[in-house]
Amino acid sequence: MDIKHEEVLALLISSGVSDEVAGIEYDASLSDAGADSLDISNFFLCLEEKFNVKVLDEDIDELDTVNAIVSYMRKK
Amino acid sequence: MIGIEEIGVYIPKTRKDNLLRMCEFGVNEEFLKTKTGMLSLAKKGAEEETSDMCVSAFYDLQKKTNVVADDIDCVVVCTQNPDARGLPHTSAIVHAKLGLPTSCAVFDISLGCSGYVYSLSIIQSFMLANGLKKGLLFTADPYSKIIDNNDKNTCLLFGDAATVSLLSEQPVWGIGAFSFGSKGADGEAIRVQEDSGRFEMNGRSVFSFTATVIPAHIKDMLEKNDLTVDNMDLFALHQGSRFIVDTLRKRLGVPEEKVPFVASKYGNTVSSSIPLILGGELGDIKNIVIAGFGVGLSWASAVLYKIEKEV
Repeated sequence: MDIKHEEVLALLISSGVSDEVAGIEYDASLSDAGADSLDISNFFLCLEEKFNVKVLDEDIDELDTVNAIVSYMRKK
Repeated sequence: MIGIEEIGVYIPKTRKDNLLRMCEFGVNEEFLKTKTGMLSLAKKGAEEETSDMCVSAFYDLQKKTNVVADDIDCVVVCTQNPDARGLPHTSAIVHAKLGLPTSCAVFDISLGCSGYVYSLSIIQSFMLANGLKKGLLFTADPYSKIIDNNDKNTCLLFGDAATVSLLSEQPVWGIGAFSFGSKGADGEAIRVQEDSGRFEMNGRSVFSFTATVIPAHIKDMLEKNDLTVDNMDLFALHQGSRFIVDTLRKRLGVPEEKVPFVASKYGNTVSSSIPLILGGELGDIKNIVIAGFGVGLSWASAVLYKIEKEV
């Protein structure tokens, strides 16, 4: 799947994840930037709905940076 | 017409303070306030049984109405944490403790967070089918019986409470059309482990299910009632957490003031969460959506409408 880093970042912001992620580096930890487990659940639900993909529960814990999310999605 | 005349409530006075335990689980006050929403949890006494909680809710009902035990035609108790192991059924124990007449029909309903809405439909239909005039619908599901106090996913969420709705031919709230749904294939997301008796919940699965299924379900139910989201004054949604109530509100496109979150001082009380809202001060509200969702997975919703009394 073709997906851009900017699209992931925009979705992180629009899904309501902590304000601190707005200027986050692509390789920085989302949880360190204040994203909690509920923010992350909501973000991945929005990601699934927007791109019509299924993200497995067991994969989500590893997807803690924008880079990791983009790499994962590009393999879909 | 059978509808809701009054609601009695019981919330145990004992509280577990989540602010005192949050560090144990790596969460902060902000998370408790804005995400789970539960700052403290109501907890029943060690010797207090589910039926005792129902009786306490009935005492509250008696303060609000002139209901007389001898007039009660049927009793329904919605619980998945009954007295002992559910045999005899808790409604029979409540029947005995309240000294209700032997002509009274009593039975339990095993449902969780969707239980109030389902049970409301069941008792209303049962009363109409059998010509009964006064019925009591109890909800009491004390999760403190099954919660593992070291489980971060659940031990800061659930509280104990009971309610009783008096259904009669002199209702304050009429009841519109219901809608129901189930997805048993995903039922493992909220369950009690058979061996340990320990309660478990997959928060992420429950969140995804709720956020994706419930808004469309509510809109379909409103359409069945020839109503829209904009016609409704209040959305009494199951109080699973502040985050889930906020998420549903945003997905429904409803203003914040129409979707109360009232559970911060007592927790997620399962099937009691909706009647606890209805039993509070509602002001000049005319049309209410009630929606419950959770264990099963199961969900249900309906519309309540205020019946204007003739002057």
